[in-house]
Amino acid sequence: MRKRLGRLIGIVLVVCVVTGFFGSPPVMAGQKVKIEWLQWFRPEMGEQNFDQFVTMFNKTHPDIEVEAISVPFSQMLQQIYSNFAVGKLADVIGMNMPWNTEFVRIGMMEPLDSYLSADKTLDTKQLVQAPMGKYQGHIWMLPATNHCYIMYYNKDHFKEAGIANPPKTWDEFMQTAKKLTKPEKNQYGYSLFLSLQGSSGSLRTEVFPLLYTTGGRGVKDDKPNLNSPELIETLQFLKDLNDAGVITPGALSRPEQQKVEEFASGRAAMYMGTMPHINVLRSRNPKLNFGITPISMKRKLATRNHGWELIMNSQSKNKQAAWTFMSWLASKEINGLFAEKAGQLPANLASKADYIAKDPQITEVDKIIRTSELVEETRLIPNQTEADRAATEELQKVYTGELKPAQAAQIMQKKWEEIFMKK
Amino acid sequence: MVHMPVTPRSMQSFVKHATPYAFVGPAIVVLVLLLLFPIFRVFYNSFFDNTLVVKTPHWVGLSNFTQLLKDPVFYVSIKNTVVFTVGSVVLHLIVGLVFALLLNQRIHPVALGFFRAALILPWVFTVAVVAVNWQLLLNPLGVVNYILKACHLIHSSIEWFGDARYAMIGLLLVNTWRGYPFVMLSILAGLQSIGAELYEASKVDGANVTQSFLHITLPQLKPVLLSIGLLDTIWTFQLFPLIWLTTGGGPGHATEVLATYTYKKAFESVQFSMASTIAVMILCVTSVMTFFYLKQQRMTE
Repeated sequence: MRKRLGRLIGIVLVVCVVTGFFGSPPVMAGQKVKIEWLQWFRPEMGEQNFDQFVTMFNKTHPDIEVEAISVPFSQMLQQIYSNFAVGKLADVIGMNMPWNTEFVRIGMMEPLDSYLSADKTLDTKQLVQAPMGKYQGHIWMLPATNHCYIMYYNKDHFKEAGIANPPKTWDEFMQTAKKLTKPEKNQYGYSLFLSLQGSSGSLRTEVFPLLYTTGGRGVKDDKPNLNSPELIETLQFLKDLNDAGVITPGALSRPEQQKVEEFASGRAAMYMGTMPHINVLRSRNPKLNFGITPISMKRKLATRNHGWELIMNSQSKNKQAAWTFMSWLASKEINGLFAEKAGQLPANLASKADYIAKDPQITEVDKIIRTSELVEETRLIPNQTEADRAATEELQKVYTGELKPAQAAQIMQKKWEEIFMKK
Repeated sequence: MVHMPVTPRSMQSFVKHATPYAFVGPAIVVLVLLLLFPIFRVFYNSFFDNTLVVKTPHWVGLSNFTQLLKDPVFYVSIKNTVVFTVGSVVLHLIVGLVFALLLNQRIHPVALGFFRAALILPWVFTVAVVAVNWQLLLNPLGVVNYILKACHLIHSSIEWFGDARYAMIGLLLVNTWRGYPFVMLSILAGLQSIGAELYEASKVDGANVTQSFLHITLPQLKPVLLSIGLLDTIWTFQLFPLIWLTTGGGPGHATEVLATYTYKKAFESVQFSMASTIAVMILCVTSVMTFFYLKQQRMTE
């Protein structure tokens, strides 16, 4: 009898465990709608800066509960693909513009057109335009922050070398970099990264911002435009810098973080980076006396526009709630504060942003973004990750002298034409 | 009295036979869920044009396999995988053997304990730590280049992981450093099981150190060396984290191995079916190697 009772209890326990795994409580009317937000912002902003927004939203919107899921940037793509494949992707996702075409191709994103036109609280004309551009007839992304590529320079190194002002043109850049290079002291003029590791692209980070200052483009009329005189002269410029010995050695195996580290430790006097690095540099080396200047130009002041965006999962079961959250974060009441805590500029240009004027380095970035031509092409390149890697393979060969810039440009163009056809 | 359809005795016999299966049951469930099902799924996926990210996958039969066989990067990655595997295993065996012989000496137990612990350390660190550490060591401005230049062995710094000529050498160096402890421990166990009387007898016959090593130690170690060599080959053949975290398969495709190529196909080109195809190829090769390993194990038993 006792044995039978014991067996019965055992069966009941097993059933409870199994249904506990697979069962879920039914949602009753009046209960909160739960939405998940997958992003990499929290690790980069810091917990205190980030969590307050989730708390604020949940407090002011008692019928919706946002749960933030944080992943380092390097793992975002993998996480998104795996979660989407098993139907467990979050409702709102932090977005990086270069991933746009890939996500459209697999039908992962919900088009935002209808939500934008129905939302009377959000004035789309006040939002930064690059992410809002139509691709294949729809708007896919809502901007959360705005910034651009800029040149960081080490003011102490400049003073030591007797250089009064940061360079404005490519010629000045070459001269300045040469004066700043002292190999015996392990100091170099410029650092860049050409590693094929990971999914951070060298082409869009090291080449495109320079390319835009020549007036050139990587994509023209939805077709690859890499076999162009402007790209060839940009590749030549990078090769000349390398041949002049002004670039820190090891670029081919250097990932992007190491480039920032080299600048922070004073080994490189200049590098091209994005605005969020301001906070990174300040925390890595508080004694670093660094300045910000526009990217040295060939013909015109231009730079690559960037920022953090938000997208909605097409498989989300709570799309309206997801949109409410997205719209809230992009609203002029909240966006300014969010951008400030993220160390970037607001995507909503109507938001209050007193913090810009209070920080001279942020003021400088704001000035650059208002006076330069802002270009954003990565969201139009199919399979951007693969395309960037394919082009970087040839860029590496230009660097080592294996290929001349014109030859590399031709091969890059051919590779991209194949990738564009797979669209 | 109700006539029971099953007699108590056959019920007892059933329970007696079923009990072992009940014990093994959970392990089998885990194996099926985490091993057999994914393997089956990968096989299955390799016969479609793309899976996981498309709504309607189309059956393409063996077309992925024929496409793969026409891919030049596939052959480059096979070559690199073979070079890396053979190189690593040979170096592991040599370095492992040398250290095992050293550890087998009769020295003060405290010193022996210290050296044993120190020599196992490379194996203890996680791959990410090993990768970052060695990236710094092999950096053009790093310690290794400094020492080589100070000893006048090179004129200018070598970009170990950034130069197509040296990247594979750098990788072999790191993997040898990381992998020798396991081999060393296995060989040490083998050395300690060699009877002392064999060495005594050879000393009586007038054999010197080299002769006793070549004619006693090595032959006695042969089963261990073969076994550990095969195991190491199977593991190194599919090695991914160390290569991904140091060179990412680059520069270009200089250190592209089958594992990194699979990853890129899956998460960069978003072609999960093609990635599954490469994974199936890897599985076939490692299955053959495992078959030989098991056969060798059975022979020694």
